[in-house]
Amino acid sequence: MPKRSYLGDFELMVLLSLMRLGEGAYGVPISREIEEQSGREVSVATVYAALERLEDKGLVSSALGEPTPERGGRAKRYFHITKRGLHEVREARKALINLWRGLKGLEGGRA
Amino acid sequence: MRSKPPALATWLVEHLVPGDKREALSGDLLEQFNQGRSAAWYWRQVLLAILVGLSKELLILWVALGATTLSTWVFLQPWGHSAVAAGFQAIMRPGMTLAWPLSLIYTAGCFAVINALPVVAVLSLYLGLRRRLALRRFLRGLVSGVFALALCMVMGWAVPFGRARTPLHYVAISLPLFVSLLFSMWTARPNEERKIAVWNVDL
Repeated sequence: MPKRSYLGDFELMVLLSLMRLGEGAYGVPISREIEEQSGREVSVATVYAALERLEDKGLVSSALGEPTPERGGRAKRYFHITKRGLHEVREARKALINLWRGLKGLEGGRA
Repeated sequence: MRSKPPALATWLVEHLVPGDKREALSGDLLEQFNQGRSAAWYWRQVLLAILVGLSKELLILWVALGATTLSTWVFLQPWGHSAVAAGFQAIMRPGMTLAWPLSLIYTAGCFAVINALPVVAVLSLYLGLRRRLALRRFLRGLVSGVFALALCMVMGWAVPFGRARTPLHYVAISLPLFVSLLFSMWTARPNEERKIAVWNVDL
């Protein structure tokens, strides 16, 4: 049984973005997806730092794409969620739903 | 036609960001610049990338600096110096009674082991802090560290330190250990692992 690795707020956002983007997930669309869905500005470097942490934990894997002229001949690095990453997202979701349940003050979008 | 991004910023991101993702990161920044981001935005992203990248590797610097300062301080204390000298003599003495070339092999072996001890301790501490203690990585770091230490010491013997206890003197005597610790941890630092991917999954 692999050791549990607890996800931070931002790491969870990155994993969810990877799942939403599917095969085309690299730095630019991942940052854009997080910005659009969360409404907060993120830097590409912060996204890469989170991806590196997730890769170290075995929750994400990456592969180099082909170099493209619009990127000055630099290759894209595509990221994918691993089976373990998917398991961790499910666990985080379950925990958050349990914590959320029964909080009357937060139901119906009222804070 | 869009103007080119600041050349200095591009050079900095390509040379100062550690890790194997710098090419992808640099390409991502260039792609976004070509899509209409400003030069100020580009510079901000580059500086952030360097800061974020280096902060991860700063642990190596702090561990090496801390360990070197502590070892030098202990060695320069009268009790520390006596303890080290007594231990050294006790370990080396049996080699004197051996015939050549066994005596040489024994002495050289002991000398290497004694000098490798700080590298072993600090390397274990570093890999423990990073939670990446693996035999292969450890051995890679140990071999590089001992090699760097031997090289520094050979070069250091040619430096006329004298007897003066100046700050430069302290720096000079602790330099071989500092460099070897840095080199050892740098070569042993964890790389990314490739994992099996699962594509397009639904919760």
